Amino acid sequence: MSITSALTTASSGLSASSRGAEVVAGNIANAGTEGYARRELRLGTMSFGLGGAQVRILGVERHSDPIVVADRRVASAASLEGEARAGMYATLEAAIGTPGDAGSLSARLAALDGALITAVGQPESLPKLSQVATSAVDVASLMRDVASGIQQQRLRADQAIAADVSTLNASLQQVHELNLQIRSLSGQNRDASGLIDQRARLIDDVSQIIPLREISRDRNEVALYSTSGLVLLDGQPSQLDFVPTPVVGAAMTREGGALSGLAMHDQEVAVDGAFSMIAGGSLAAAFAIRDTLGPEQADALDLLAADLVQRLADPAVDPTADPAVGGLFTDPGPLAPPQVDLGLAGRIQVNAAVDPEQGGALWRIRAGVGAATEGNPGDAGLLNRMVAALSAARVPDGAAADVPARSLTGHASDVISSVSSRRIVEESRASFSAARESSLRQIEAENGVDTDQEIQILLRIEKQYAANARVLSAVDQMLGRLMEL
Amino acid sequence: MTTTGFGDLAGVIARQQQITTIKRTIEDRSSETVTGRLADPAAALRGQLSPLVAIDASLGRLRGWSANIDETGRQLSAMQLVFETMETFSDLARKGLMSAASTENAGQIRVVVADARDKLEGVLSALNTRVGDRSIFSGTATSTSPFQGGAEAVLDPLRAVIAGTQTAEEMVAAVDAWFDDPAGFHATLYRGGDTAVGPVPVAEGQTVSIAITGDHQAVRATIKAFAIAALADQGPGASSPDQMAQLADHAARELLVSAADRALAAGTLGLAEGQVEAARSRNAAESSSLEIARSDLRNADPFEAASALAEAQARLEMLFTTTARMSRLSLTNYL
Repeated sequence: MSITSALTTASSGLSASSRGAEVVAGNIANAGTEGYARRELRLGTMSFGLGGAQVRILGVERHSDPIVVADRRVASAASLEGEARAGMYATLEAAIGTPGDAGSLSARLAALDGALITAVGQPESLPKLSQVATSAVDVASLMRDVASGIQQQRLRADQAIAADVSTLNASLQQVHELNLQIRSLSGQNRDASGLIDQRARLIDDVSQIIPLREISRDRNEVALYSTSGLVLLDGQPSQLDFVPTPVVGAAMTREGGALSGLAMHDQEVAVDGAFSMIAGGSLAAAFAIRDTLGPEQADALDLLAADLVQRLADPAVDPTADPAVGGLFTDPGPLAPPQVDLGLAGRIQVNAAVDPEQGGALWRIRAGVGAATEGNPGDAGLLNRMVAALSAARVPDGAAADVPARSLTGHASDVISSVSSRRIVEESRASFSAARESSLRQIEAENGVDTDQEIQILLRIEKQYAANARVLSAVDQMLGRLMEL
Repeated sequence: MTTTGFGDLAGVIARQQQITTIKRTIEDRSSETVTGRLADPAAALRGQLSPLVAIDASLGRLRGWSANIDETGRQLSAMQLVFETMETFSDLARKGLMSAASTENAGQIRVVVADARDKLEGVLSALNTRVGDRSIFSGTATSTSPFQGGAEAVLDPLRAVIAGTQTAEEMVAAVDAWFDDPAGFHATLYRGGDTAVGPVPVAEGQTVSIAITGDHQAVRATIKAFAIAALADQGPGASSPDQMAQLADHAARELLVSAADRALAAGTLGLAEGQVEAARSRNAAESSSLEIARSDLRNADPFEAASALAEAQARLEMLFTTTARMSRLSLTNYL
């Protein structure tokens, strides 16, 4: 009886060893797989009455530190959010150009000023007046480009939201399906580690869009909540609704109803402000760019454009200019001082009356945009007043109360500096989150597969296998002896 | 038995990050070494770009001023030349008129009178000088020549004015009146503008005006003197050689008196030229100091960039060496 039990015990040792080798093989094979959590065979003892203690395989343990994983997901979402915001400012900064570089907003404004000064010296010279017209066109076209760039970014943000929402819905559905499979395997006491790995990777994806908390439920199931408390998956996956908009213009806002918000079960989900339910990920960044950051920069640019138009449309500067139409710079639509026109920067143009390419005459730069006759070709009065108007300190009509009186260059410099400094702040936030993410990823990886360690375990398994085999052969010999009797 | 290992991936991730960081440093520093520009000037200025914008604006204005200085300088020296021409003609005419008047020889006087007529022609054409597109003695009416029709345009209306005058004094008084009357010289002869050119900005807070036009006292007095000389053989002078000599003498004295006006006008022009030259050197100094300030703000220190580059390169090589060593250190190789 005890000899037979020794046989069974030794064979249980053999099967434990081969299972152990299988686990080690799996670990080594996946040593380079990111997101793979190391497995370890858990063994226990099973005894029958007095004699024998067989090895019992308790299961395969998956080594993953949930706290590190949760922190890493939050950091990774924050890093993505920061990158998106910094990217928006960086694109805008590139469009505006670095002061000192040819073609930058600052250089073009300086060129306009210089061209006007030169024209004062030679008001009768058509080349000099044409230089004024050209540099004015350069300023207007750059403003339009920057303004349309902002709307482009808002459109791209809208598309990014749509893509994020559809990824989110699909991923939540998959996580739900994996949850069901894992529950059933775990119920049968079988190894679900592979599926758990797969689910963890899906949750990684979701958490970049909305940072989330993973809550363990029975039988290895998980529930997902956004860190701000939005239920994403608990028993059933939630469905988020968003309607993309094909074209985004300056006048289109979420508040105005032209752009879609985020909804769940027909309930509006707060996407910004202190009560945002999705704060901290790529989705929040896209909503911020579309609804807050983009319009904020567009407004600043509109104010600058309005300042430029208003300075030269002042009847004290150009008595022939109609304040509702503008002076050297105009809006194709009617101007609406004292308010700042929404989207003016996207439409600002050089007055057709002075631009030969639009059928105007250059001498109107000198004589006034509404002048009927050329007047004295050497008269630089208006040009002189324009130079003075550009450098005078003034508050644009329709500006907020805290806007200080500055020269045009001063207002432009505020716009340029604010974009650059925001870009730098966002970049440093993003790089902080990225550093945090990578150090957490590093900790995760340190807990991952160490091939040296696996080989050591393999050596031990080899030894155990040999020993068990030895026991078997000894028992076999003993049984043989018995047969020979 | 649970032992804590050190995951293989941890080493890979760490080295990847280190390599990326070093490579980015190398990229930035090498571009700084090659271009001499900071890779991110905005970051170096902490986003406060207003100094760079202000320098841009100042340089733009300085470029505008420098063009004005060139143009205004050219116009001023051209006007100086015209005054020199007038001075030379007046000097010659005055000497001829004086000596002819003293001889009281009608024939001789007629020769200098004819000569004065030619010189009037010369003075008027000098006053019509154009610099580029601009008539320099027309004030703001720069496209119009100030005196059109040559000497005849001056003498023709004057012949009507002096018709009927009996004595040299009467004739001179009539000519004087015509030149002073707004409906006379100013309305009939002078075609330029009444406003002076300028003020033309030439430096920060500094403007130059060219206050002298064809209607200026010095120009008017000179033309008047030549006109009297050219008309000495007409009106009262036609009937009496005595009157003719008197007129020639008067014209000579007027030329002498008007020399003071011309000197004053030339002095005004010289003052403006001096202002322009002062502005030129001041702007040049300002321009170069702004350029230096700008390069301080956005240019990289080449020595710093180059040494940082060398250091990053050494670190990268070291990292490659240790990576190679580490990857050979595997238990598998010893079994």
